[in-house]
Amino acid sequence: MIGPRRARIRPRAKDSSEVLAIINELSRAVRGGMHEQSAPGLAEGVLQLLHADAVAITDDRQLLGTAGVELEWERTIHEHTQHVLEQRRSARPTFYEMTLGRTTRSVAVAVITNDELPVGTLHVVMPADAPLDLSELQELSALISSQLQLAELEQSRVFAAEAELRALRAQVSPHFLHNALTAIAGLVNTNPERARELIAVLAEFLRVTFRPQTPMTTFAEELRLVEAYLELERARFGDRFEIQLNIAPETLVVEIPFLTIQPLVENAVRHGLEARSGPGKLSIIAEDAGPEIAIHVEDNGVGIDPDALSTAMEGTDSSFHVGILSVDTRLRARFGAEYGLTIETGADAGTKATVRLPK
Amino acid sequence: MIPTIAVLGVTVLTLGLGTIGLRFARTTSNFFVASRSVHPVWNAFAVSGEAMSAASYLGLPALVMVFGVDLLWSLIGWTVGFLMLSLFIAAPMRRSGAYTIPEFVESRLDAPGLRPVVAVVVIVVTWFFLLAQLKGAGVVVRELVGTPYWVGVAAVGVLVATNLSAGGMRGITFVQGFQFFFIFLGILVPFVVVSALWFQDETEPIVTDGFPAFIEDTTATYANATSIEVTEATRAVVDGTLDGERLASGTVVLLDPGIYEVGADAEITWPAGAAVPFSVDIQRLRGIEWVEPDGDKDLAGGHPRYFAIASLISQAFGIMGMPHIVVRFYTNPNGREARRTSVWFMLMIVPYYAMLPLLGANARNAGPELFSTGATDSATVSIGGLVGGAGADWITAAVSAGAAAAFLSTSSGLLIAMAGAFSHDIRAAGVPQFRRAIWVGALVSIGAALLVESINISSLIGWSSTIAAASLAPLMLLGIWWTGLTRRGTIAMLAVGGGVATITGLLGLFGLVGDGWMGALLGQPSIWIVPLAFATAIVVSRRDRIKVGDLGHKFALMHLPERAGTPS
Repeated sequence: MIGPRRARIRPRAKDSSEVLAIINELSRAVRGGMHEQSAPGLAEGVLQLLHADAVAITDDRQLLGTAGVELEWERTIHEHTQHVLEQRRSARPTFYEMTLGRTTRSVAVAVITNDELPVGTLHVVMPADAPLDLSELQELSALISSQLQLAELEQSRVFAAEAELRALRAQVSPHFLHNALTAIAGLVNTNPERARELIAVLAEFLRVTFRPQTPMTTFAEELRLVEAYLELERARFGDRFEIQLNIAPETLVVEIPFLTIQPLVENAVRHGLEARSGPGKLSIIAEDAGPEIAIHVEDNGVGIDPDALSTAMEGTDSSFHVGILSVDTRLRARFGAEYGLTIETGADAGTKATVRLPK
Repeated sequence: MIPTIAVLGVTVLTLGLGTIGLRFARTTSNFFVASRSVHPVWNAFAVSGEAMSAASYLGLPALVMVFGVDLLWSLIGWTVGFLMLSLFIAAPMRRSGAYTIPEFVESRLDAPGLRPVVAVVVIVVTWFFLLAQLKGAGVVVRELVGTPYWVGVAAVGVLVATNLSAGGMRGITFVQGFQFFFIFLGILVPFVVVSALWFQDETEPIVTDGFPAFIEDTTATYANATSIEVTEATRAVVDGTLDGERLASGTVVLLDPGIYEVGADAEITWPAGAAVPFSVDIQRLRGIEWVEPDGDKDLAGGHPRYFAIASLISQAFGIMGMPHIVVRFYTNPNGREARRTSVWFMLMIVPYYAMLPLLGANARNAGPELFSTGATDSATVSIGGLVGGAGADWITAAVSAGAAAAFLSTSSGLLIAMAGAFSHDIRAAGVPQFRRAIWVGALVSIGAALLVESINISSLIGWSSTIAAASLAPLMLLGIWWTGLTRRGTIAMLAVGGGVATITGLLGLFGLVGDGWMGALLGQPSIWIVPLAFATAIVVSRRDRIKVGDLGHKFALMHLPERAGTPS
């Protein structure tokens, strides 16, 4: 067995309180994630901690920030970064040589990870008289990695809380309720029979959405909710859009988070088909794929601008397509990062939202 | 020709239904139609299609043909296994919400780390079982089309993998339901025909005082080099190599009693009335010995009673642990429907098992040359030889279509279970990985199936069953019915039961089990491995201080019936 791990970062600074202050600063720099704003601060922290000559930080593509002596990082760093990231199976820090004018300096490089995935590299050049212990660098990159992960966890917690709130609010939008009631009101005199039917459907829709919160439901149940929703929307639209269902019976029994499909359908109607001039088509396809299922909600409406969509999915613009965002967040929170929502869309090209779920 | 068309027809129908047909069949704008779940009866068809495999359809008749009534215990074993599966596993497993056995273990024991371990066992079990299916495919295609063994193996393996990776499990319930009809028809048609002949007294007796003899002039094709023992001087027409000597086509030779080496691809035409020269690997039994239970038979090293009990245990428990069968019950919306499915399923599988031995018994008259060529795995498809003329083709067509449906449906199910265990239980991954796993699984199995040509289907199934019986079955039974099962108990049980069973299986695969009682204990080991596995699980769990939490909730979920009409 390996003995108790000792702290490898030996204080080179004058006293430990100074070291702690630097580490604290360093953590704070990483908390917001690793990007061009935070990288110089991070590099500076590493420089002070290791008493290095120069430090550079990259993400998996490009140089993010440097500190210390000015070097021609740009020239070779890309190649070395790629090399190190490819070699990640043997995840120990390594050295490479960098020619500076007439002298050659050796650069130590370590990988920074987030949740086991490599997200960047840390390059350190030490003074000629103070060679670097590689394990020291490894511990430091591990520290940065864990801070990154912590930052992400914190963010996802905030997201989860927000998503829940949104989900609760999004269940019945006042807009939808108003439209449905207006449509029914219009029918009361002309077609009281139909109006009565629709009121029953609305009642069913409200009963399901307002039921005591159970986070999971079956796909068959969710389809019932979608049916009620579409029935009400069609009261307003008339037959302006056609519905096509292709549901593999094996998928009906699969448990899915409550309100996973209905928001996608609502989105297709509201943002896709409503804005479209001609007759629209909405299809819901559910496929069995062995240990998992895939559900597609597809419309031939106006589509979503991909850029606007990707900002929405990253969560920076929360005003847009709230329902979809909440679906994605809840799927990932429940089933892990490999499941979630994917959207294929383009302006005027319709939208296809796909949800993958484990059985 | 007709049989070949039948096999191709079933294959094309399977592919067609799985991909194109279903897309149209279920496309609707009617929510009520779209959200209707699969009816228990149709679900039972699908479970039956999965459960009626090449193992039973081809493997059992092969053994019955040689050894006779002792093999009826295997049918009892399978039936008991399915009954226990229906009674003790199907409904609770469905209620637990888990799709696969590894997933069930993870949630029952709160042990994400155990999931990949169980998945490895699942892969081993399904792999041995898949080898048997592919072997069946090779044998049937060779028998019908005359192609070499590897053609059928490779064709079916590649076909099934292509179909699955192209999204062919769309509507698998539907497809397997259809396959059930073919399999059932494949057994029903010969049953009706043979019964009719029997009632008209037009069949040759099977239970005779003497050894099997050729009823009419019969040409036997020896696909592989075989040693045969001629017991009386026989005049035969040889085309091929005999005792190392290449004989011109149509050479008539008088064979004195003795052992002869027949070269690969040789054809020998034996005269009507001659005693069948058995392959030296196949025991020669008189009709009256064949029908006598517990006789002097080469089962489990000359211990037929031990064989009967051991295979009964192996099959009964093996069935319960078959990973591809359990997942079929998931299509039911709840535990109640799962139980209804299992009742219907029992009603379908029991008559199938009841008719099955008939094929093997009649093969003694329909295909006596199989005793000589050693290809007894073709017993089922030889049944057409019982009636002459055009009728023979139609019976062979029905039987072959059934065989094709049997190995296609079961290979699909097994490959899905195997690839799913790899891509979802060992590594949490998505559809592309699943497809890759399908291909890797198929190619590895094809490769291995080519090597097991000389091993009969029943042995392959036996190893698969034993491993399942000694690991997955105790895991399910104890996990569902005993609150005391702990993580360490499970690990110990998998290591001891699964490990020892796998070792005996591999010893068998490489022909290292030996003779006599040692051979019996290693060749048919479930009689001691299954109790050993249960004992290990119980003893280690009892001594384990780290118990599993939240058992009340878990057991309530598995065992309480769903309330009729949940208030929501």
